[in-house]
Amino acid sequence: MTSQRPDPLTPEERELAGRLGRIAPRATPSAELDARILGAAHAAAGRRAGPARPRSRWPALVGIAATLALAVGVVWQLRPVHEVPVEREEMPSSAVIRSPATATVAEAEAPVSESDLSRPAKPRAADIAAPAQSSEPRLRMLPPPAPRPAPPVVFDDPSPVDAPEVAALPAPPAAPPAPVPAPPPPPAPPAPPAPVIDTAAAAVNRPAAAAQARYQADSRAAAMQRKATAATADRGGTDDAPAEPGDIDTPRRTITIADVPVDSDHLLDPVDWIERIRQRRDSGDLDSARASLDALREAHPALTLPDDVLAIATASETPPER
Amino acid sequence: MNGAADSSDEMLMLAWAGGDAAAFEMLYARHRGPLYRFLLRQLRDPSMADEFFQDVWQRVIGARDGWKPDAAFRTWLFRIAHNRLNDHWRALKHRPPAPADGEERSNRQPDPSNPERELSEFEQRRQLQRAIDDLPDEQRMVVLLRLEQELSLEEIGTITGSGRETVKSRLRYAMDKLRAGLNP
Repeated sequence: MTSQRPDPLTPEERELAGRLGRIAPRATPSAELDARILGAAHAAAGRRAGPARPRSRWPALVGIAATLALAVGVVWQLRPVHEVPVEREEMPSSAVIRSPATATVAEAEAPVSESDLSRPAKPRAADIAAPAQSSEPRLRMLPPPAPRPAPPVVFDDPSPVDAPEVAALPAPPAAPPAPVPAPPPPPAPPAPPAPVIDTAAAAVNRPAAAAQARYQADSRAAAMQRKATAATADRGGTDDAPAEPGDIDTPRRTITIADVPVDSDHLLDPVDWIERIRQRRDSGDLDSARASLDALREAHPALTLPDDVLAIATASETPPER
Repeated sequence: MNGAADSSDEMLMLAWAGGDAAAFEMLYARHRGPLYRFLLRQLRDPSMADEFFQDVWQRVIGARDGWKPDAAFRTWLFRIAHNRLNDHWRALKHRPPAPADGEERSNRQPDPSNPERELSEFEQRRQLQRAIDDLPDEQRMVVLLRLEQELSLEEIGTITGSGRETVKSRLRYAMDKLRAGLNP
């Protein structure tokens, strides 16, 4: 108030200002209005001096707790996706590489398995996340019957999960299960003692590798199909997209912006808050968008809001006119 | 600082944010008149001016905890008012009609001068009011902030969210139109 004015009025501006001042009386707010505002200020000051301080922090604490719970939930949901399938599928690959007799098969399969394992394939993630469906890929990975039971010695580190599976392989050369099409015929004669291990390894690993290759090919195809489905859904075709069983429990689809409480929006800085309001609006939840917008205006009354965000409040103010 | 009366707006605002209600009373006393007249000039409706005036101060009260003296308090206060008016006009999609009681209010002004001069000044005031009413919203906002509040171009730019050159341009156009309206 007492600072020097950097742009003093020009004489013409001052003359107009004088005329302007004479147009309207020296209008001032009424005493009642003054009393209302001063009363509100005193009440606010009283609340501040009183024990209301912790109350204002409760929403923040609740918001932080909710955010943390959400984050932990997401991490918990995603955790097995990255761990379980890698262990399960790396076992045959390492066994194949260790066996010289199956070197050619391993070379042929290695690029496929590495690339497949290096990225989190969607079908596998979905299958592992849904326990009822994880049995099918495991069955398909079972090698067809070997001429003689392959000793688990081939695997350096048989996991407790896979060892029983290998041991439980059907010993007699019976017909393989239907899901595995055309397994190679079992090798016929038993070999001399020295190559016994190699042959046995080849006998075990070759069908296993073939089955794994088929499974991975199926997985890649399914992944591509699901990616295409997801892309279609993102473009607004969710209603038309057929729901796949593996995708139903995917956490990404269950957590939406509507699950984030409006009370937690004030933890964001203004730019992120505005983006959150847009997300709420875009998700169709106009009520929460308006509530969040009101909270933003209350917290940052001098903030200049973008037109599209202001349109939310405008629509709420004058619904009949629009 | 020699005392509360000499304290800057920013000091008073910080003191009130710390719980000093007397600081708010002083701050309010300083700005109640200019803000109310600004709103009345924009809205041209005393009841709406009352409503907006209270709303602006409520927002000041509500935002005291997060207030930082980044800008002058007066600039911040008028920016809140500007935003509130913008919301209102955006909702209405048009400015309210010309004041129904503008001339009546002018006529109520006591003027000890002689009848000829009274008539002449009345006519001039009427012309000025009409010229201001005819201005586009942005130009009217700038010229009123400039003439009534005597704000600098930078302060007006901060309030309206525009650059200094934009404000300067709007003010120049507005002054040209006012000049033309007063000297047809």
